[in-house]
Amino acid sequence: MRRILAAMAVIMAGPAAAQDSRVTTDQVTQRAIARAGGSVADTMQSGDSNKADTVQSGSGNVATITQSGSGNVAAINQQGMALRAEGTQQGVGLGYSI
Amino acid sequence: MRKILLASVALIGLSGAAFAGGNVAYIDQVGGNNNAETMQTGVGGSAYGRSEGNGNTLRQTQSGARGTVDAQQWGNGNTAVSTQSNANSGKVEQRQNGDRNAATAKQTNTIFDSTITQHQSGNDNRATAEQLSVSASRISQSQTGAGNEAIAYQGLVGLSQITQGQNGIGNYANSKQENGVSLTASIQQTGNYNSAVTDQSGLVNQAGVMQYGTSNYARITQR
Repeated sequence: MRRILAAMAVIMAGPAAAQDSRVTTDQVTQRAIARAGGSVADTMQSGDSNKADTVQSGSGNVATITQSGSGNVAAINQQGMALRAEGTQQGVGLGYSI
Repeated sequence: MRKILLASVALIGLSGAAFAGGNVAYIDQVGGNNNAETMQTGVGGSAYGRSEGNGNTLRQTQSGARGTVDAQQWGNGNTAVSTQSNANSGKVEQRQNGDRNAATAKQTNTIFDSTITQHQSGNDNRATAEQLSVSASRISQSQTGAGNEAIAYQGLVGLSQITQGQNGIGNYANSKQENGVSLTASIQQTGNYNSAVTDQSGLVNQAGVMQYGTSNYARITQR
């Protein structure tokens, strides 16, 4: 019984910690960032003819740009070590550079 | 001057300087081109300012912990300036309705659990918020209309947040957090031709931008 309660406590602690986050970063990413001592940048754009830039310098950083629409442009520039960049675009006439 | 007197009625209650803890000051302005100022020193002070009309200025200054500053203005071309120093658990709230208004809020020196909240509705407004030497503190700005600017700055800061929301056309949001740890900055914009710029320096920081509309621009810089 004690084991079950302990397991439930661990499971319930996950969502509670996630609710403290005020940005769109998921919990797994946050943990990764915390371990790396770095930073995370999320950009989400919905619509046409939008532009997004992310510039990061340092270590352990993560950058994500998500765009949906037409004629959007995204760029991620990272300098440092153990960096990760993700880009997702949906639509036509898109441009992306990492 | 005569025109000002004829056009406006200013009711100023408990204004001027108050030097003790737990003081409460009220300013109520009706009319145009009025200027009012309050200064408070002590713990738990409260300053409330209201103005209806155009071209009015509210200045509120506090020094001490657990202070509250509240400024609300209706009309065009109004200015609200709220400053708190040595203000642990201090709260500043500014609300403006109209066009071409300016709201400025500043909290300085060893601030813990302090908050600046700014709301503007109308066009061509500007909200500026600044927190220096803070921890576990927050800046929240929201604007509705066109051609508005929201500027937020936190320096020497930890475990703190900046949240900016704009709804309309041609708006600009800028947040900057310097020399900090565990900071979050989020900008949400709905509409067209909006710009969002976020700059962070330090460790374990997070920045998020969400934009809905066309011809928007977002830039995140982390150093």
